[in-house]
Amino acid sequence: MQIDQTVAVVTGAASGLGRATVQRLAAQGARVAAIDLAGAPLDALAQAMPQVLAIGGDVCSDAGMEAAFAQVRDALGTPRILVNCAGVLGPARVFRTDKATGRVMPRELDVFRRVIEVNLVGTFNTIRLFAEGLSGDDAADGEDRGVIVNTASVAAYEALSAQTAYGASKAGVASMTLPLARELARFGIRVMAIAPGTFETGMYEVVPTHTRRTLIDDVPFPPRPGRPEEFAHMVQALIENGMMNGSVLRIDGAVRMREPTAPREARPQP
Amino acid sequence: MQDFPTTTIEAKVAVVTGGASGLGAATAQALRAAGARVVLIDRDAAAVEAAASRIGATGFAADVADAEGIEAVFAQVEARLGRTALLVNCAGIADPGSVVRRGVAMPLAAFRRVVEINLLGAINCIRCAVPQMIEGRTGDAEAGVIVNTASIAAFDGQMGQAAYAASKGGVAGMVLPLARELGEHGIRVMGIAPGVFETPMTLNLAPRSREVVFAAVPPFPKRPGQADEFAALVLAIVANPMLNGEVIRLDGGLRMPARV
Repeated sequence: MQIDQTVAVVTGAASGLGRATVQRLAAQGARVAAIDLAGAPLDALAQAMPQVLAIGGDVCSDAGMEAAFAQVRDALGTPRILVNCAGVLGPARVFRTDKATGRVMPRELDVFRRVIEVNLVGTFNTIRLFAEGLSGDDAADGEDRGVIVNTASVAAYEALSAQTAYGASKAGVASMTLPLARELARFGIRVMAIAPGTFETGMYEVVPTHTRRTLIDDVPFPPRPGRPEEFAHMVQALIENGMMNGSVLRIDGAVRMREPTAPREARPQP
Repeated sequence: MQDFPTTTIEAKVAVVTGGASGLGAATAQALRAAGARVVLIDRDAAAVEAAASRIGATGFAADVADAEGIEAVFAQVEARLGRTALLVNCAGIADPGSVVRRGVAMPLAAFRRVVEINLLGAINCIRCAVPQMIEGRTGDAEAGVIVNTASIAAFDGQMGQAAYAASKGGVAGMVLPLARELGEHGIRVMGIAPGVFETPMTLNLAPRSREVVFAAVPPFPKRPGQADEFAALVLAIVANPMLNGEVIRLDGGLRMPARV
């Protein structure tokens, strides 16, 4: 699919992978709608890139995203590119130790629910509205009418301790790639996911230092975190290559994540 | 005859969710036959009561996605039977649906409901069972085993299965991080990804969906799986102490086509 003059929606657009994707697509001539939670990062993006339509909204809200997609259609036209980058890490072990009694307790369910809401339910939320917008199209000539790129993670395959919800949510994103590609084929929509390894984003900054060291030590080549621009480059390649469909691509410098090697006492306590 | 020490089931407290029917009921019966003190959790109050009295288990009616409800059930399990040592998560719904139907997007609530029951429901029971396993551990012995039900839809989901595949993919994806996290506490975590099985979940699908599901025939044996065969794998997983952090396909070699 051609990017120039095409309407593209990017979520998680104000920082990290999303922001790099907005920049790349806009530089290629796309008319980009940038969705993120309202706040300073989104305002900064809007200021830096006045050609981009910045929309404040929560990907987990059905009404919020319905309004956002209506706004995109009115202002820019029907989106034919969707890149879902909105996500949170939300590390948490499944149990915790009560400080007062010393008893081992269950972690609150809402801690896990939030991660799954943003990363998985939020991703599907924009997909259903994007597909609805293209459902009137006739894909009979075999050309693609739309492209969806979702952000999974290598944690979909090898998540670490305290990443139960993150790993589950990203594995969910990876697993729905094929059924979505199969189902949306009749509208001429291709569906892909990218599974990044360790990338230099705001999410990576909050990872504990010793874990970060292990994550980077384990990358065979290149021995560094990925750059958001490298993610955006892959997004463009997937959009442009009409045969790419239904699969999840790792972009990780060949890393396979293992548990941090820090001494036990340095690990986060439950 | 085993020539290595297997994990015993006799006298252990085993909690089975979705225990009133299908894979859960068969698993509960097999665990009971192996001498476990079995607890059934199911949202269907009458069915769970009947299933429990049929096999001599304790039944609780609860929604697996309800945080407080499940906390209360596990508190009662500990008080009445002792600490949970085995947890088998079988509660799940299929609920197929198109992303866009006649030009209208699927309501987000429909997707969310499948994820809540199949994925968050499993996490909910795990977070409640784990503290009991940890506190019940003796020395460095094995403290417990958790078996989750994924699906081959996690790997090759069909049309109309976006929500189901997402939820079961999530279940499959959390097996390894849980095994990594709970390893130092002596807890093993496994997943089973069944293919097409004859259970109320598949038999009660709308006629068209049921037709599509059962039209997928494995290379061998050329028939749907039976719940007892799932239960047999659960027992084999529990018994073998080296199985950990893995999702096992139980599908007769089936790979699901896009459509039939």
